Amino acid sequence: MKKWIILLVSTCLLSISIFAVPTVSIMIQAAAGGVNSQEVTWFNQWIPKIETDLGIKINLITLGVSEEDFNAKLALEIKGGGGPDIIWLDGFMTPEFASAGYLHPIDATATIPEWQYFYPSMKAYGSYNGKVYNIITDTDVRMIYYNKELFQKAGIPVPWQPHSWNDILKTALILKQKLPGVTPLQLDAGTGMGEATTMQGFYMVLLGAGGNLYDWNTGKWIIGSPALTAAANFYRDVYITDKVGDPEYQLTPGGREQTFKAFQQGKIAMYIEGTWLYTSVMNPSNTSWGIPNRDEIIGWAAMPGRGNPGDPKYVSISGGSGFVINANSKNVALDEEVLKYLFYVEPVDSLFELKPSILPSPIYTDFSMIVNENKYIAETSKLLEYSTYRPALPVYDQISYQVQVLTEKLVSGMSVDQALAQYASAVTNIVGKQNVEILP
Amino acid sequence: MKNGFFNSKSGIIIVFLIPAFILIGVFLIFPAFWEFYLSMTNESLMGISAVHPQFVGISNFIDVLTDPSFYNSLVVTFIFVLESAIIGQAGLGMLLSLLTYRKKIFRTLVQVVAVLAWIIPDSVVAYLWIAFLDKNAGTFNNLLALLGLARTNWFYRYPLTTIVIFNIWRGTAFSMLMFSAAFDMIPPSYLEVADVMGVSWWRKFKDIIFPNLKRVFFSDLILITLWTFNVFTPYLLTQGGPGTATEILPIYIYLNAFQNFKIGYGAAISVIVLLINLVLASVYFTLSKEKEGISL
Amino acid sequence: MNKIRVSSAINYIFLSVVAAFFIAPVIWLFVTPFSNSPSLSISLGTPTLENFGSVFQDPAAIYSFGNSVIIAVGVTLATVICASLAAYIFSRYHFHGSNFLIFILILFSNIVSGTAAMVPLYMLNISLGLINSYLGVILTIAGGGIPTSIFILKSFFDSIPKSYEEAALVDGSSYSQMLFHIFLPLSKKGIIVIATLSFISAWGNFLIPFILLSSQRTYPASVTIYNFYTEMGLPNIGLISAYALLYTLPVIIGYLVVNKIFGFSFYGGIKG
Repeated sequence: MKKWIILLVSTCLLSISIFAVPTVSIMIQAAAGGVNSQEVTWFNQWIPKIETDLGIKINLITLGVSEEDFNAKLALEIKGGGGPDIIWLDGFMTPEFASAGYLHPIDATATIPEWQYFYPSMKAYGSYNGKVYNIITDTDVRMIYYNKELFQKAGIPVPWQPHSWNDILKTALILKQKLPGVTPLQLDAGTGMGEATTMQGFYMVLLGAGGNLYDWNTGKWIIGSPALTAAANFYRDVYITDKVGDPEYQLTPGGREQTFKAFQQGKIAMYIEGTWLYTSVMNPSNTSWGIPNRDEIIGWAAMPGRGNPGDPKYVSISGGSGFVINANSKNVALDEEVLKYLFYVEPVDSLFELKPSILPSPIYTDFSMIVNENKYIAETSKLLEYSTYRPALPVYDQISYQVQVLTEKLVSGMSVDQALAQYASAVTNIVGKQNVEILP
Repeated sequence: MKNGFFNSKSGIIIVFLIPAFILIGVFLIFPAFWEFYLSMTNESLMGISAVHPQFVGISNFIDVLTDPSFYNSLVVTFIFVLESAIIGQAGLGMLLSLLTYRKKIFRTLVQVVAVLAWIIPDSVVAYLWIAFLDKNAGTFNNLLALLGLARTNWFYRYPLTTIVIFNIWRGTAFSMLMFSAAFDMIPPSYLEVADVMGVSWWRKFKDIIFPNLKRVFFSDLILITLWTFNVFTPYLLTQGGPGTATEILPIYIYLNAFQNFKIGYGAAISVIVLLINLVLASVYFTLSKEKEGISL
Repeated sequence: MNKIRVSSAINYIFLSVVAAFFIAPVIWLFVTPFSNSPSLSISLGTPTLENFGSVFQDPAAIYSFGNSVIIAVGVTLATVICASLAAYIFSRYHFHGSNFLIFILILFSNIVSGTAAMVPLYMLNISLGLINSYLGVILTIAGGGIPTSIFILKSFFDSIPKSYEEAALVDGSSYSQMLFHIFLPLSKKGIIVIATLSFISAWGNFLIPFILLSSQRTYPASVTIYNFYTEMGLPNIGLISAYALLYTLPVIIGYLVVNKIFGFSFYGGIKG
């Protein structure tokens, strides 16, 4: 039996070693036919060209699991001394991975000719401790999407642009009253929604009250502030007091997919989400949740601040992903060659054609017909001006998880004070007493 | 040849045990001890402590034992084990083997459907139950609606009860198979004599069935208790939520080790779970009174 | 007499309800893949094979079944060989606390199959050079399952009367001949049971192949199906159900065949 297996394994090894050409492996969190299938399509377009031009072989590893499992597996592989050479990694994981010594710093200026034209925020987003680890391919903004048909049915004029949280709640209450069976607002909450809860949910509210999770001036995590209380109260208003959001979506397995489906079917009226929702999920070509007449019936509005004097007018927070190089990679020079190729204008624009996003440098957009003709991207890009980024710190991921727990408790009906007190003690446990603060 | 090493008693013991002990030693004992070691470090999968994990002694254990969410998980787990394994699986398994005693067709039928539930792979089973209990389209709620009852989001309204019932569904087959086999070992003449004597049902159970079943009974309880204590499948249904309502210990370990990347901390919880299991197993061993007497 | 009829009627009704409870969640799996309008409810609509067609469009879906077979068969062989040899020793050469030792090993197998143990298991396989190989996956899964198999098989061996052995010894059989000529044939059912159980557990194991393998080409169906769930999402129900059925069928058919030919039970064979 064992002989048979050894034979099998050695046959596999042999068949690999026949390809004596240098190989670069690239791992992405996507699968053909899945929600991120455009990325697979894109690679399938470009890999043959890169292989011919560079005289190498590229081994594309597609892994269609959840982002959490993807990151965990990747970390385990690199920690164990293995892993793929190049990974398409969510930008906000860069500090976690870099501080663990999992990533190879990239000499971006020398490697990527287009790098010098990258937006400074994009450069900073892919960096940690002064070194570049992640070359960002795309970024995004967050906003409120709304279903124009439902708004019209409820007698709310479109285009619609709220100027305060109150405007949102008032609109939601009208929708609730006029359209029974429709959930007026989807504001992500709970651990089941993962990072979406923190980013398109709690952060969007918190920023609107002029708050943040992290104090950039003192370098401490904020465990209590008027803005935190206000944001928690907004959640309570939405889910408990006014009941304009549906807690079940937040707390049921597969809830995120259910909200996509409900939004597609016109059962959710307003949905606070990012660029990706429009370009990927609602994309008419998406067989699962695509909206055939998306451009006609889906509107978008900027997310307003709370509306008190001194609050920001609009808010947004940006994410995005990019390419990193594994610290265990045997041939970094070759990996950099591949990256250099991928960041030429032509590949980047062809990725945009498949999966529109906000590009990291004007060099990709200024002369591109495809990009300039995309009205959605052109308009929503303006929100970049109001947008901010998550704290690029190794511990962010754990704090984010606590934010998800906090919202889950609020949505389940726990009082604001109690939920915030538990949040404060959980965060203190993670970063230590000396790294937290309470703002008056 | 006949008197060579391979045919001597000690020779055969060594030769026959070697394959199993190598596999168990390398792939079971060794990683388990590695995990004991990890439980005393601040090993992490991400961030700075992933680079230089440090020996922290018992501080992980102190952290676990002072964390209220650990006690929440502990309570949830005990309820889960008690209701789904000890009462549910063992109770239902016992009842089914009693009711199908010497009814071959019915026993085969019930056994086959129960075993089906037991052998379908985890990922499929999870999906089947999510579909089955779906509020708007699921079979169960469709049935309720037909009967004029309200549709309910079971995972949301009754999360712990739902995974308890799920686990009874999933695991009863094992207990039923064990008890059925044990019943068949009871010489039929015993029960026939009792029937002739007009002995009551309860007396038959107490004086004939249970004494013959005792060993199997305790083996079954030990195995299903340990398995249920470590079962991860409910994660695929509820991810431990809503809130922490279904956060049984294996899920709690997973969340710490892989979502928070705190490997050392997760390992410490694993070790604590191991100790609890050890205590439980010892209790069963003592209850069964004969230390060497546990077998199928 | 009437009393007995009533009680047996109640008995049958109860058994039918329980049987329905076990089968109800599974019906969906056998209907939906053939439906032209697959949904979470059970509805056949017009029967179609289209859903299976779309599964086979994805090459990963097909060879992942081959990978599953390699892994599951490998685990089964390793488990049966190691467990039957060891169970024989445990059954026939009593030493103090052997039962408790087996239980300790079962306890260990629980912690090692848990998620926190994935770090040691990954690093162990790296240092043995077994990462990204079927052999690593097979040995890792087998190592965790052998104690339970020894435990089950031992009770089959225990039920073989000592007199058989003594007779064989008088005939001049060696210890190894005794295993192969007496114990294994008389415990055929036991071997079948542990073979079936280890096959099923290896077939369904997600975590270990997911952690230890890292190429699409080597993933078994348990990992590939997970791809379908997360990436395709709930709406692509036709594809998912078709794949789930294909993935589950070998296990179900295997069990039914084993049950038909040998009878699948924890039954100690012969009674002394």
